Amino acid sequence: MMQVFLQNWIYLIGAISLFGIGLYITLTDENIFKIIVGLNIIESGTNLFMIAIAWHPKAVMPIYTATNHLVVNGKVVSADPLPQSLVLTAIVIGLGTTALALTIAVKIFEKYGTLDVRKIKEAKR
Amino acid sequence: MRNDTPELVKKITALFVVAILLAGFFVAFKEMPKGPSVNVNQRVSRLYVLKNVQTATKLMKSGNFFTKGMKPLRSDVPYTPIVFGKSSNLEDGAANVVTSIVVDYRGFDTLGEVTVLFLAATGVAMLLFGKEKKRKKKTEPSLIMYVGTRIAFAVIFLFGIYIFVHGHLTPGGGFPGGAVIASGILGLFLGKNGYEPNHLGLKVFESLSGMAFVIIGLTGLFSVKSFLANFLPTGTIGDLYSAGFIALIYIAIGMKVGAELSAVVNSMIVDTEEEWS
Amino acid sequence: MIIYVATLVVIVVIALALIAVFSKKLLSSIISMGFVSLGVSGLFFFLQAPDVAITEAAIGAGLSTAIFVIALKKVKKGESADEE
Repeated sequence: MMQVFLQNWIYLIGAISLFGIGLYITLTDENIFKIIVGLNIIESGTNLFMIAIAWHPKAVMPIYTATNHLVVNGKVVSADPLPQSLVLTAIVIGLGTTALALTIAVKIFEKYGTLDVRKIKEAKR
Repeated sequence: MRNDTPELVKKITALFVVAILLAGFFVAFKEMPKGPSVNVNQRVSRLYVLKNVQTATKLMKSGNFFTKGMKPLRSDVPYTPIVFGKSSNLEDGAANVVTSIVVDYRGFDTLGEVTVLFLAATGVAMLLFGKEKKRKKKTEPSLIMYVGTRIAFAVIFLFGIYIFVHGHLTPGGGFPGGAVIASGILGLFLGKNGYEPNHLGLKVFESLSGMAFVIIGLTGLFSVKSFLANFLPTGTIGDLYSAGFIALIYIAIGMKVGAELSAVVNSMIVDTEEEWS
Repeated sequence: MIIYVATLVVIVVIALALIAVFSKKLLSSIISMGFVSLGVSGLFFFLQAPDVAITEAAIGAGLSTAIFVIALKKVKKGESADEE
């Protein structure tokens, strides 16, 4: 009973908790670098969610080898390969976004002299 | 939120927004299918795998998208089981199914992703542009670091090349192969103060690899009938020379991503100052 | 049996993310983010997706954390301490 409940829900609970924690960091912190840390945690949570819905408890890897058969007795028994390819793209694009955001943060520090978001808002006025 | 609301009110509002989103997600999860196996006929619409537009239009007009006891998805090709090392001349003969989706069936999205990565690397290099500042007195890294990183770089480079050449047989592909090569070059930066890679070499590798991707696609356009079509023969599943042009495209992507990420790391480590300061 | 190990990894990952929320210094938030990426990469292997696990380990736990620390070093020269 406990095993059935864990198998159905544990990965989804983990992915949604990571998304919620990342969103809380992004909304309430004042240091620019910590906001970017929150963005990265949101991305990890989203990718985990998309791989978790492509899994069922008797899955095998979607790679043909000498001992790994993907279709047994007319039923498809491998994990779903389509969300895995979408997540492969999303991880690399997350790296590009993080690098560009960090560069902009460094240039903001060079111009205003501080990393506090509230002080930058007041200095611009 | 105005500037004079107290801190506690802001934090409670943020928690409230997060809780509403999480509750919405959990309500949506009750509709997900659960069970010991996946019935592909119930998950994938028949319209998704039909290649003929006229048949798809007729089916959509007559109104049967999902039926419970459906026949196999393609009714013109009988289903034969695929055996590793024996089946040959398949539609796309890669042993790694995820690779065949990324490069062959959805190859245009991979071209878009390579473009986005190129834009990000160009933006970083453009923002951090300037003359190099003279370094103040800093301590040099020790001799063990210098020699050790250079020895490790040779092995890491070879491992990265192995990952993207065998992309159609083992897990991996072009993107982690390029990232491993960039990590090796990051190690070289730590071994010596003021290490400079060859800027001209990085630019030439990146541009030629990007052009090679588009030229392979155009060759598919002129020989078979569509852009990025598989025009090389697919051999036996599991051989090194199999799966059409997947190995060629992954070599181009691996070299391009490796050169790009090395350029990004180089722009961020070097100290620059602007010309007009 | 494997599902109990995966439960333990999920609990550890959520605890590390909570450390990233409530820490005072910026460097420990960045290192906790690197550990979250590593834990998620291990979870991808339990979910039968080896391609994604290799990519997340090489990019998330390798290059992303390194680029963060390099950018932090460029900022710290003007400040005496690296908090707030």
